[in-house]
Amino acid sequence: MACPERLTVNPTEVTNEKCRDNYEFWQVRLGENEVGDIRQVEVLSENVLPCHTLAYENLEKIFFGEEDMENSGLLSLDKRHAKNGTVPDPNNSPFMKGSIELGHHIFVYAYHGVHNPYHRKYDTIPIRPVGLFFKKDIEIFSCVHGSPCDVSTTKNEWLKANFDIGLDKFYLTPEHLRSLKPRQIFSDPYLRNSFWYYFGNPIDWGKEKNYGKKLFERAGEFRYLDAVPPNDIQAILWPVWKDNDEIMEKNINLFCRFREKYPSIERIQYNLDKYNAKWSLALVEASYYTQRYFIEFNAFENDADIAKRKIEEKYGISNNTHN
Amino acid sequence: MAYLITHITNQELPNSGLSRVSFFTIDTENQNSNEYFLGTDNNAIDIDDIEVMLFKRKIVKLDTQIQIDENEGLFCDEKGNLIKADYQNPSIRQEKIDVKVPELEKKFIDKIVSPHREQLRDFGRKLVNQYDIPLVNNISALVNTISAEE
Repeated sequence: MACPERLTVNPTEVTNEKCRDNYEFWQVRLGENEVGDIRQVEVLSENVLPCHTLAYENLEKIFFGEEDMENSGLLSLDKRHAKNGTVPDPNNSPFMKGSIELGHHIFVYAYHGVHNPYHRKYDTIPIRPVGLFFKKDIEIFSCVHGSPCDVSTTKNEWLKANFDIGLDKFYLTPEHLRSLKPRQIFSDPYLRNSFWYYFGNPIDWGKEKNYGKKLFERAGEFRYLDAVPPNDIQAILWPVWKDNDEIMEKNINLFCRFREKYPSIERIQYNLDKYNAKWSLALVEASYYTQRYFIEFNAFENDADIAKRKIEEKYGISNNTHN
Repeated sequence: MAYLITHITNQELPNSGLSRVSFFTIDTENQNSNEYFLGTDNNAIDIDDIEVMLFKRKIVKLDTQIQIDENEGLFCDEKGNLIKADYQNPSIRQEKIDVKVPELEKKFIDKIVSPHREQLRDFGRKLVNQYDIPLVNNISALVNTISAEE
């Protein structure tokens, strides 16, 4: 599919030139404060796969049901409504409210960071997040563009601190987003000059209160126009849990159907109950080690715990989260 | 590490055995803050989100907070009783919790009443009309509830 040269986002015209101007603006704003090995951080920033998190309750509907994933892809909110002949109502969609008001509901989102379940609190409880890794080679402007952070919520403190410049400055090309983040990592004291601290890792997630919220505020965001087709999904993190109930039986069945229908999407199981009620830690750990394993070996293991063991064998148990 | 449970999910009861109950906690060291946590996660959820879930009746506020350890889970049985047990293996370390949750009790009553609604109504009416026994007020209330719902 050919990508349009420009995007019109209610009412902003986003062009390559505008994105380049924004990139130069952010370069100056973030400054040059690198004190460590920025090249290593640049390589990681360049290579991580974007992470999209979805609610388990929607998994079947999206991949096998009414959303017709096979033909249409993972749809933006706007496209989902258009299919049903409806219009999204911000008041009925708490976590998309800000996006709808900004006209950003025409995009599918993914983080330049770990599968952070920040928005999953709106899911039906018990929460069982599913993680998708999108392919990197689909990042072509304007089908895909980037933003330094999620701009849809007023609860984002990092956004508030930069709000004076106007939201027009938050449109970047995907490659500019990847190239700016190392500067932020070395200029924002919170990010400790560490890529994996910025990205999100399970050791700090387990220790530091509200780490997830602060990561959410700083994580770069990729936005995909209208839809992400199944061919553009590289892998899926699939939750399994210990309760031997009817829902778990259905889960296994769904997993098998998924394997048959989407054989090109790599499947990685993760144990949602691994840390008891700390379900988000289980997801973050699985996402982090899967991503690190992919960067290291250009492959996936079918179980996140195996990826974890291999990374720990290579880098050590406690030293593998910072660089 | 111990946590204090403030809210639980307003969920269906199992037909038998135990069903896992999701819960929200507050920081034991900072109990007056407006920060809540889903399970034992350490990322706070705003009070507004808790209030929305309460308004939509997705969750229930407990009258008495329940202390729970990191390796424990919360469960309910078919009667709506709350039970603490080992998170991974709920058949061990079970401890019934003495906290009344009216919403769960109502679900239990509904489950008992629903299949026999008509018989109970007729029986209740008969009792109300013919007898004067101590139970009559309760049954009368039950009949009134059933009639109002219909």
